[in-house]
Amino acid sequence: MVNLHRFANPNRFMRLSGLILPWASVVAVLTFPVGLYLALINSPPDYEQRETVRIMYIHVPAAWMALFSYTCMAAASAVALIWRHPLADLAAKSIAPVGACFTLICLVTGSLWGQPTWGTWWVWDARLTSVLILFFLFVGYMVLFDAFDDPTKGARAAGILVIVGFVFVPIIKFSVDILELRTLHQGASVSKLSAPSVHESMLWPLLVMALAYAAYFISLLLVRMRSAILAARVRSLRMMQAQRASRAAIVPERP
Amino acid sequence: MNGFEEYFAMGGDGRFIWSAYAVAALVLIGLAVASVWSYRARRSEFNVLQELDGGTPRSDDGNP
Amino acid sequence: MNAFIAIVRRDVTLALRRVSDTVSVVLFFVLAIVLFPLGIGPELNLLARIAAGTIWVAALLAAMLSLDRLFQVDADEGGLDLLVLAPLPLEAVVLAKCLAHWLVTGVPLILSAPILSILLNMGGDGFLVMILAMALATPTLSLIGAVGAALTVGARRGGVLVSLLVLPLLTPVLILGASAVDLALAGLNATPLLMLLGAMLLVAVLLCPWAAAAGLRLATE
Repeated sequence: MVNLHRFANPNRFMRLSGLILPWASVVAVLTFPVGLYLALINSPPDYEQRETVRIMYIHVPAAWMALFSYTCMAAASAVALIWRHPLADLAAKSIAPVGACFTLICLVTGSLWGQPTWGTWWVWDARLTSVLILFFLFVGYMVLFDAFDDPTKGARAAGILVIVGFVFVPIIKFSVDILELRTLHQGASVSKLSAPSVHESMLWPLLVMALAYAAYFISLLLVRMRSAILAARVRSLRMMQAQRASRAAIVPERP
Repeated sequence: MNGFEEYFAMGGDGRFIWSAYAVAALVLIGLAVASVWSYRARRSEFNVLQELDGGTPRSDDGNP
Repeated sequence: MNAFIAIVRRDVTLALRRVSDTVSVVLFFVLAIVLFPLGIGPELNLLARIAAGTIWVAALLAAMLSLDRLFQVDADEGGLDLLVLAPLPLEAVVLAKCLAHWLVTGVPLILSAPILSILLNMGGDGFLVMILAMALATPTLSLIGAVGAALTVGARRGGVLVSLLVLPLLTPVLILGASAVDLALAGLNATPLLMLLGAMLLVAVLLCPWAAAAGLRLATE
């Protein structure tokens, strides 16, 4: 019975998201081509990294958005656990696949950047390793969410997990830095380039791409939340119809 | 034509750069399409159920 | 306090009655270590170099094995509802169960690690640091593992799921522990890393009982 009323009236969210969604998706659709133009055509090759610096324009914003997604997920889960706000649960659930996709993009593009620059597909470098662990945290969240028959319970269990994970993320990052020290110590010498120092000509494509990613994130978040709300409504409608049907079967209607 | 090919070669690293962009595009577009499809499916399911329920079908806010 | 000790004693007694569980965890640990020379080849220098990391990875995986029984037994037998309703705060109950879990799995792992390091031709300089690091790390394993175990009590599948949730969170323990032993083997000072392991244990003590208790309340609703 809880489910019946819980999601029965997020009408305000549906109205509001219906207003924001077109704008966010228009911004995403417009900024991606502009960002691509700046990144692929209207920016100079880097002195050290040559043309491969162009991968940075889709790699770095993906890393930013991955971390941002995880932070949002933790914040939404905290709101859901403390105030039992049903929309917050839906938000956290909707963010997870988007965040996992951002980490995936970050990992694959990082690897494709590493091969021509470092001469190897994968380096156990602090940043790559911590993003890999972040990917596992996203996957763990989604799997735990799905492991429950009751979606409200799944949401709360996964929410607790994501909050614990959020506390441990800085520790993971720190320990992975130590891992990197250890490879230097053992003398495994992969000649590495420092993080690209941001030149002004690189700043604009990076910022426009980041804006495009952010708009994409918001649009998808809203679509997925609306989808989840509709799913909850479908579930409650089904339950109501089933109840009515069983009641009709027990007490035949009198003329 | 030469300039065009040179541009795509990206100084010899073209295949890495273009595959990075292709993967990113594939993942982003794939997720977007999957999300929108499931949203549409849910909405039509909701409308059908509401019609069965006796109410007039309405998609909440008139948005696509 | 009495209730706390009673829970620890009860869990340890139960574990001792079913000694095969503890023994199989240690045996898994030994077997995993034995598999490495068989897989990589018995070259002594190579084994000495990978010894610390191998022992830590195997210890982590062995600890995972025992986790899904941590709360599942109580949940199946209905004891979990009693623990939730007990006058002792559920957080303290979780802490007691973690302590018991550490006594029956963590301590045997600590004791068997030095013997296994001999099998892998690890240098003697790492012994003391290995034991100290394990002593600081295994309670963290039990505590973080308890969160995973508690969150999956009400789920459809436990087992592998617990490892999937918990192992990413345990990477710092692995990195710090193995690095500490390697530093000691190289003749360097490993104290800072041991202190970091201790700090992580403190964070785990503060955070994990709360999270695990929340998970258990969810499971008994």
